[in-house]
Amino acid sequence: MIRKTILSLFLLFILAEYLFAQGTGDIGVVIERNSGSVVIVNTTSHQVVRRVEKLGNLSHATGVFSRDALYFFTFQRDGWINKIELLTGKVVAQKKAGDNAIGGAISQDGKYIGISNYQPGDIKILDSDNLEILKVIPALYTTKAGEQKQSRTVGLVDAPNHRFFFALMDAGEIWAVDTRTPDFPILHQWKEVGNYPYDALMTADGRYYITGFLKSNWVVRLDLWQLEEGPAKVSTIDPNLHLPKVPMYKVPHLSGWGIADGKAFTPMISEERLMAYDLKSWSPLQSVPTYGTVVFAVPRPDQREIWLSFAGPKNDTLQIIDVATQSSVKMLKLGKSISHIQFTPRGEAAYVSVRAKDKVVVLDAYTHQQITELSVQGPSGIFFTNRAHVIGL
Amino acid sequence: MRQVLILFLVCCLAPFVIAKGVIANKQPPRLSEASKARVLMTLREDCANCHGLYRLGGLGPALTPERLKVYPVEALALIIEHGRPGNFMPPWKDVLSKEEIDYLANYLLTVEPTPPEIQMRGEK
Repeated sequence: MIRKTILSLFLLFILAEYLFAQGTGDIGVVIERNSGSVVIVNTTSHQVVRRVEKLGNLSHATGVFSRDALYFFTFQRDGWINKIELLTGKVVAQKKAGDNAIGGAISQDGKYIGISNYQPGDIKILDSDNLEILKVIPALYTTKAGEQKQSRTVGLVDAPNHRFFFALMDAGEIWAVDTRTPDFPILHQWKEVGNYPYDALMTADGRYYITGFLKSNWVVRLDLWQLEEGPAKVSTIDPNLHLPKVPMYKVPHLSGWGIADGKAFTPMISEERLMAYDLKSWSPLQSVPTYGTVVFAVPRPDQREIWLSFAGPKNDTLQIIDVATQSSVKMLKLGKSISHIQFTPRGEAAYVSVRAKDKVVVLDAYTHQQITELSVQGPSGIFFTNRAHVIGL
Repeated sequence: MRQVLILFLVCCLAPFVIAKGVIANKQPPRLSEASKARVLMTLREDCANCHGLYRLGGLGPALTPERLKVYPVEALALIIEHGRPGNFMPPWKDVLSKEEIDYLANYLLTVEPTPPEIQMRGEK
């Protein structure tokens, strides 16, 4: 009798496991900025699956996925990192690793988390398992007055051959750290690359690290195949197009820089245009006038279109640029504070957070028609699990 | 050049407004509820981009009453209105009315931001 009961319970357990087994390939995380929570969404059913609350200050929060796409690590303005298990919504580890953080990365082998801090100016490297802090790398530099200071750090990404790359905002430098060697040595320090780097990106093939500047009229590209050549500067000035400088109500984000058709479509500071650069020769091609100053330039995964969001009073509009003709094909008024655009892994749909309307709009990537909308409180960043397998994200 | 001019204006105004600032703090400009909502929406949706949702600073400096208390309310209103050229603080005069800007300056000086707490999870 007892043996029968145990056997039935065992079979029931196996059946339950089979029935409720879930993958994470079609889920993602949406930051609810104003309420210190995130929601986990399913991109097959286009539904909110669960909400994870009391995470702290999620202003400007971003994050990365573990390589098994089971965990999401938040990088928060208050310096906290929360490790969230996606299938249960449980916070399985947390750590305060700064006082004012701006972003982070996960190492190529998935073992380490890097967090980039404004305050104190450093990056910290943590064990991705339990979030123990393993190394603090202060972003030390010498000011023109000869004073030693710590710079705010930006644009931290993982790179091929176990590297972290990041830029020093106040120092105007780019550094590379080796994440394979236990002491995490600094391998490169390129100095005087430009004034006030504000963000950077790694191309999805892991070849180019591109940095934008607030106060220099150039963009810098590092070719990881030829690091000895150092950072290559290319001008942001278009001799053929003189647009007026306009107020910039929000600084562009580069993780979505439009890499498409062998070109980098780069947002310009205080100007309503993108500049297209040939990625390989790193030479300027031409400007693409835009509706406003661009915050995100996100290529559709097939790279035929680039979807743009804007700053300030024009942030209620999504503009779609056709890459082949480099012209505007659609303007969609979705509501105040369009703050992020993310395509589903195979690119059939786009999720757009419309923060002031408390909703995420799901659009068909090809017809541009609305599929549905999700009720999400103050949505900002959107992250899908396919990012777990892309270098630099 | 514009930056020097604005700095000059702020310096000229300072002696007059320091005393008045105290009074102004006590008597924030009267605004319609819709205008107040617009100001708070701008603070939450636009200012927060650089200064943080809880005004603790980011790309731009912190905007807490503690840090701002050295500034007269009129000086703050001037900076909001005209921006700080060269420092990426944009002018807000095309977005908010003069009264709304005065209200915002007053709000920044008097209302403390309260960041949400984090759920503690055992030993850190």
